[in-house]
Amino acid sequence: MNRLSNKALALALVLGWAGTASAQSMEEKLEAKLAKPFAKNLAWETDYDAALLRAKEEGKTIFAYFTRSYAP
Amino acid sequence: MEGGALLSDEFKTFAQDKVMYLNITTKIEGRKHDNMLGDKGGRGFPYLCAMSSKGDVIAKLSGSRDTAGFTKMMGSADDYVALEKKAASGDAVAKIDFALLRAVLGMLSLEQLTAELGDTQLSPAQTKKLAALKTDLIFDEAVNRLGAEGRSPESRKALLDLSLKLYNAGTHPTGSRERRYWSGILNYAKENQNAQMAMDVVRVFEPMVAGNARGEEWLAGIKAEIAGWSEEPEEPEEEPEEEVDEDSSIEESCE
Repeated sequence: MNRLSNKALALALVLGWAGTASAQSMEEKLEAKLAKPFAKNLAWETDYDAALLRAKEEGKTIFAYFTRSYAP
Repeated sequence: MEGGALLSDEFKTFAQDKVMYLNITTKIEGRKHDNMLGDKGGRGFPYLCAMSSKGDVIAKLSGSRDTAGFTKMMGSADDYVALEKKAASGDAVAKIDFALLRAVLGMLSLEQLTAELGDTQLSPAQTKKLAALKTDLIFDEAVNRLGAEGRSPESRKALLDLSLKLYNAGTHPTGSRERRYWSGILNYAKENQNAQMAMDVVRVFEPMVAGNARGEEWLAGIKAEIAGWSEEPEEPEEEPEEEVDEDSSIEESCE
């Protein structure tokens, strides 16, 4: 029983570590995407609500570009 | 695009009088607005559209993925905003046109559009537009059902039946639906060796693949296949009757 608990704990730790590693990896990919020249070429608004607010206040339409960071 | 069009100086100039919104899907759990692509009508990456300050998609990219294409899309967005203002001012014609435009953009279902138009008298141009729109929306519904039902045999048959009905009526879906619709018609034509139907598809695809070597090659293959159907089937060669030399047979029998 004790051995089984230890195994379960070890498995949980491994899975937990893997989950964290995966999340970090996704964060890093996002950072890499935001560091690309196209993202720095102009002042993109990356906050959706802020983009709507600016469009309303400035009487402008929104040019929206949807891309992803987790795959090329 | 990220290494070209979005880096150009003309794109920088283009961006000056717009709010430039960048949405990056990251798959990071719990991240706000991380899965917005589908909500805004996108089916794959990259996706570009124009939005109003309410977040409504008011134009989609239909041209090239460069500043010229982006400018065309934002021009359509400006047309939307102008029409919305005109409709809000009480212009009867603009009200109808605005309802039709919102249906085209997917903001109104066919049912909602019908309810909004009510018994309003439409101009010939608006009637024509409404008929085309109805065809598109009915086709969209069949395609959506296909997706929702996991491409079940029933939903596939329903889409094919609808496509054939539209084809026979001469009312074809437009825009982004065209490829799917005509591909379905082509498959049916090939299965049934219907050369006339297949040639109709070829005529639609010809301008679409012009200048695209792989597309042109594919279409040439289709044409060759169609030509094969119209050829007269070869008649089986009749076995020549065996000539009997009566004299020799008599000789043989006498030996």
